[in-house]
Amino acid sequence: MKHIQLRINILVFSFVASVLIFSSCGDYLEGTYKISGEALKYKTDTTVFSFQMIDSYGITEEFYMDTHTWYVTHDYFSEWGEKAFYETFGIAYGSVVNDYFFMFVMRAQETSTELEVEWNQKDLMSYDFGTRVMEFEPGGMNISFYDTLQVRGVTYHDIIEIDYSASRNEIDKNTPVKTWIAGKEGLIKFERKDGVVSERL
Amino acid sequence: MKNNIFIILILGAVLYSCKDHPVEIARFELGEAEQNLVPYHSGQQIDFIHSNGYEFTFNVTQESLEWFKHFDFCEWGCRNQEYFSYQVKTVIMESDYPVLSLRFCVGGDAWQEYYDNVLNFDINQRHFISMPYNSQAEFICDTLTGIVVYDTVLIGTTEYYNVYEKAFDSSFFIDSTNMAPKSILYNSQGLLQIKMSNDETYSVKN
Repeated sequence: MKHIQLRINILVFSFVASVLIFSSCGDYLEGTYKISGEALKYKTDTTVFSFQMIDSYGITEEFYMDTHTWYVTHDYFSEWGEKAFYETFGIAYGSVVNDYFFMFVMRAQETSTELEVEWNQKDLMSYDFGTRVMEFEPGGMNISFYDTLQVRGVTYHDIIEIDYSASRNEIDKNTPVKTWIAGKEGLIKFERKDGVVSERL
Repeated sequence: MKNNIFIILILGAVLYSCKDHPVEIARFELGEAEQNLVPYHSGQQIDFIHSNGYEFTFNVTQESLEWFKHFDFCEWGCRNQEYFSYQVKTVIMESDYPVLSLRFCVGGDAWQEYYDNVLNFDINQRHFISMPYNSQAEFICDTLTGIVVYDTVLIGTTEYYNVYEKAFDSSFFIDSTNMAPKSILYNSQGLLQIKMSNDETYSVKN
């Protein structure tokens, strides 16, 4: 009888302890988290389904929006638990001649927005607008923001420059060493490892 | 002892009958003329030039002649099925820039599906052309195939003879509003030119 009472006490104690431990893991998240004001100006115009670029040799390339697989819905809210909603903006392009694949994504988080840029599903970088932290495997990279850039006589605004020069030996051969992205237009210029530069027409 | 041997024989018969014994009912081997429709060899380099002057090289990275088996679709109870064997010649040539991978398949396609008397061609497995040929391995030129033949075509400073032109049949994920490969020129020397819808060309350099 004593042993049964002891076992019941142990079970009750374990149950209460478990409830206390798991309920101390933090509050459930609540709220709607939108892309931050700073990042908002980089939302690409999703009504532009294709655009052309010309390279250093006069070869025309055309990028077309992916409407089948990646970010077919460009702007949406993901549910987390039952009460938290996070905004994601994404757009992806393939290309006709060189079979490039370019993805630009922004994801809202509780206190900041994260930017992701990926080339050819081979090299992916991320940048946190809040902490200013960059992440890129396998090596170093640099990201710059500035107001304007002229490309083929056209002035583009709200420029993001991504520079993989520090890891040019690690990136895929078809990943551009440098990429320039404009706020509304998206991809406007890139430079390959072999020095070929492509500019938006 | 006799009983043991009898049991072993019975077991052997049972195991043998459980094995699958597909039956080959035909073999389709590519003839020399068919194989010569794609006149490239592994390691070969072919120089090309873009219409705006950029010169580059294709390297032949694969040249293979393989046998495959075709089984009709079977949902269940698929043992001892009949099949036919067919040969496919595949040649792949690639360039560093522009980033192009050209695949030529005779007797099949990029996914080793059987294609009787057809040369299949694709760019980067995105833009596709099929060119049917007759029993003499001559491309069939009619409204059905869409293949047109020219006595002579001038490319650069060289005249090429008996040149076939075929429009691309399809492209993955792009529509008619996009710039796209439009057609190819082809003859016994192989691929002569890729024409784009914006009138740019990639031509064999002579």
